[in-house]
Amino acid sequence: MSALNLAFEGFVQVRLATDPDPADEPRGVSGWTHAVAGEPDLDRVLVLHEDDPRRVARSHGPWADVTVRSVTMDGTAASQHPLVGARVDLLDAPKFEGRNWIIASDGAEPIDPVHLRVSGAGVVLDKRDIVSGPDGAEIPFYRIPPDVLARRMPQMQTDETARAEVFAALGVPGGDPVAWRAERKKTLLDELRSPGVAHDVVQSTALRTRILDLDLGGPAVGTVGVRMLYRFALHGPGTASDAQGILPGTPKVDDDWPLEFWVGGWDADAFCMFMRGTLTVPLG
Amino acid sequence: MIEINSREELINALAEAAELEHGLLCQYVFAASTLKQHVEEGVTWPQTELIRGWKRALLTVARQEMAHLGTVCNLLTAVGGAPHFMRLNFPQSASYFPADAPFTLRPFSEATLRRFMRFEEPEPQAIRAFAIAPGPISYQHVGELYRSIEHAFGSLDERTLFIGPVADQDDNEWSRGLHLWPVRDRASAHKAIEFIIREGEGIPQHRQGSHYQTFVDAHAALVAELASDPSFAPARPVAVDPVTRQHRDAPLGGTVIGDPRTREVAEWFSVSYETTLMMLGQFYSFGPETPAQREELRQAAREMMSGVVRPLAEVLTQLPMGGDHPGLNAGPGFELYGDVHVSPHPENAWYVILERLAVESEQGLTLAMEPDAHPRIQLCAENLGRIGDNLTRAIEGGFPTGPSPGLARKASLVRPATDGRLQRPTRTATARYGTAARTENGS
Repeated sequence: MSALNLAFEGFVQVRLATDPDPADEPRGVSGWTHAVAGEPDLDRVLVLHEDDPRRVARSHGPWADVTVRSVTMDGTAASQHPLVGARVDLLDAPKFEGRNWIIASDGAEPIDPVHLRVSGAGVVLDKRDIVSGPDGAEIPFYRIPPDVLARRMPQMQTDETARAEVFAALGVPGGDPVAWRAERKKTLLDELRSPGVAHDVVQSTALRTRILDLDLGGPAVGTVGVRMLYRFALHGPGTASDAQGILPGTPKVDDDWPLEFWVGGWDADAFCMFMRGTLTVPLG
Repeated sequence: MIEINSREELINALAEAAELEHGLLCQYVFAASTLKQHVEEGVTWPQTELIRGWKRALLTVARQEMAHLGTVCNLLTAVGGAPHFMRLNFPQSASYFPADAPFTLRPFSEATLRRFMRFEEPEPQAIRAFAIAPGPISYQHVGELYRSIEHAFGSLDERTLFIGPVADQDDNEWSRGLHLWPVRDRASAHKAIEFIIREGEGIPQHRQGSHYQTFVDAHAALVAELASDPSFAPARPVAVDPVTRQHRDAPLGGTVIGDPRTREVAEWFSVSYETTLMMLGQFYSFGPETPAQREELRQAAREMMSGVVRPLAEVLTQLPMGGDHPGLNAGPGFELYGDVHVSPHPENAWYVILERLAVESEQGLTLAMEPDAHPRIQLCAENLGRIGDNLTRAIEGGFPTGPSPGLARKASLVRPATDGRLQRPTRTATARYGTAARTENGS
């Protein structure tokens, strides 16, 4: 069977409260992350692009933009393929659904909903993943039994190989997240002292909170070197269109589409993580 | 210092300490839940940071009081008492608690902080007489009560005092930075009580980080902010001692919530809080559960606190009181509608807890569907359902110490169908707990 492999990556915004705050804590109180002055409430949503209205960019943070970086057709690289640079979206406001261990433990949080779309060069590939019960009915996410949910659960990776890949993606020099955060703090202190900011109450208040948060150790540092590997097939309704006929076949929208990606290296100051993975689209 | 000369008096004093810690943490959580979070509530951005710091401090102290309550249960168990999670409803006059300060649920304010400082204040005073029957417990400060208990652990005969099973001690850290102290002998009892005193009032040379100093610092910061901005109001306009009904054990009477929808949420909050206490009661009773089942129960109680009780407390301070209280919001009343003791038969205890969770989840989902429902209600309702599912799965295999043939079958009565729909208990069961959860289809 012919298949199209799309490798994608980029930074993702994730603004969420941390333990012991409730998962839906709007501003962050007792945990180690906080919505700062001038920002809207935390929303837990994975935001993959800078132009998303939910994007709340922080100074000195990365650019959120998950796109296709390479295309492979039946194992052969297609470096000039028009889908290189295509936009990758997770639709319907996906969130990490651990809920303070009620559904999953820290670092093992499934993402839900999963509704992936790749769009570019006149091509739109769209596929949802549905978790269904024994009778085929869709189950509310919070009620999915662990054995059914297992295929959606990530594998938390903290080994040296994983850490090295995460640090390289984030640009953590020397693989030292403590020094990396200290450097960010220094940058923010410089920004706080700049004339334009020093007299701006909202900006200066926000920066002070970020600077205080950067002094925190423990999980705020530890999560920088952690990634969660997700590996499951998109099993649900799909659509595909190819306005310019650039695909070498017709995407089989009723088949499962294997998906593998990791999300990790949470920069809790910038509220961003890195995402890297591949989507396999079977073609007819 | 209170004189404690017998096991009976020691158990009474420890039960008092448990009730005290419990009552304090409710008051701290209440005050924390009234604090504003958004500039749209009439505060500046810098003030939101100040307020966040106070809220964090109050919640930290409340969590530590929860750990103290756990340690007190350990102390009770060690000397032959039972874990104690009952208390009287709010409000209670200054004479109920001997610290000369009423037990009342009030919004965060300068006066509230002064009352909290009074609770945790150092400097023990007063001495009382002793009689043959257990004497009345009289003290002026939290620390004084604990010093008396500590003194009793030092003076009563160690060889006969520690009769509780050594294994029935909770030594788990429920949350990062919280410490529970197992008690097996005089030395460990001393260590546990010293820790509670130190965390509460600190020591003369070093009060930093103590509950007392936390409130002193918050009070000073609030006074300073009020001096620079007299219009500063850090708390939402929340009623004092909001209740859904008057309680016989609280003759002073609370402020009855008039808005019917708010009252439904307030009832839902309090029954969920009661269920949390029942989980704790079962956990600290050290029944026949396997370690995995105990862990699931502990986890469930913790999840109830962070995933249901705290968010709903905050929701309530944003809902109108209604009735004769225009402009005021409600708050978490921590009402106890009945006995929270669990059955000595573990099957029944678990079943009652599961039944309550199923009903509470369903009621929450109903509330979430109402027009303009607060958005956090849905998640709390879902969390209740999931916590119930998790506990149900934990006991599917029964308990290791004996047959429990009916357990899985019973649990299945309140377990949701695999499509996520709850089997709806009868209206009678929904309206009042204690009725067997018969389903609408008669199963």
